[in-house]
Amino acid sequence: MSPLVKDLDDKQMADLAAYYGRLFRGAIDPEQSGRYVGIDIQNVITNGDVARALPPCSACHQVRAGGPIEIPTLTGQYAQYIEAQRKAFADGARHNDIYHRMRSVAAKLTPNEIRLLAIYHSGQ
Amino acid sequence: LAALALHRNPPSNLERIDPATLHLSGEFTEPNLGTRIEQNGQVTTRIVATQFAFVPPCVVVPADREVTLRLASPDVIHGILVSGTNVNTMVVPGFVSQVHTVFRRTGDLLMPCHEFCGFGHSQILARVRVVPADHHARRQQPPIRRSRAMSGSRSLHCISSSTISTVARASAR
Repeated sequence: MSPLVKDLDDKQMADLAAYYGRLFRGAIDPEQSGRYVGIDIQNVITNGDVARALPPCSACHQVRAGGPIEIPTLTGQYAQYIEAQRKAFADGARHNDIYHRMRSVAAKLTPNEIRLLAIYHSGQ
Repeated sequence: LAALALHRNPPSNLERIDPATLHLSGEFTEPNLGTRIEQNGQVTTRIVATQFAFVPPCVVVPADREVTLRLASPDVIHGILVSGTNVNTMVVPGFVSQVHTVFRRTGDLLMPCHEFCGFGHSQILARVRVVPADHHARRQQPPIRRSRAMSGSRSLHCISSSTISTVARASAR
């Protein structure tokens, strides 16, 4: 990605962000995903886990959920990529999330939860 | 008159701050969050209320000393209260909420968000760990993560997340 964007100026980057931001973002719909991940994972996605102070994934990553504006839409992303990024957040290798938002969540997930959530979030 | 005589003031002051740049510079950047003893001896605890967590999720404060809580939000309106104390205020983007209090008893206190802030609102549950003032001054109690960014003492906050689960389960019974 670096060679593609290194010559862009600030306005061009802002224009590209505005363009991609207006593209249709598919909703994550468990009925449509066709990838069953189990009731426990479904609970994490829709309800979170109070015992772990774990907010539901949908609170931020669902379209029009009302979460922080910098949260990305995950639908359609490769499961392997999502899993790798979550693991990187969990061990701190990736730390560009503001106020530890994703690091604090990923660190509370088990490796199996990270894998199953990646499968779920990649599906449509 | 009684409120004035007892120094019972409105819980917040009118102090503006830009929520869009909260994390980039100033007192609410990540290294500055937590409890700090200022150069004048004032104990100040800085917390960011965000979707969907309080940062840091646990703060360490000294007992029997006046503590100033300063809070800000980068996203939406949150509310904060510390169980069993007079700490109870809203945190509005664009403003710094400030509360003065004295924690009389040592131990862990729950600090939930009490203003609906989104679908993850009910999972915002932090804690305040009140320790004896001399322990706090020596800053020797583990587990503590320290960082240095502002002048004055280092910021203190807990790093263990196990207690919060215990407290949450106990409160759910």
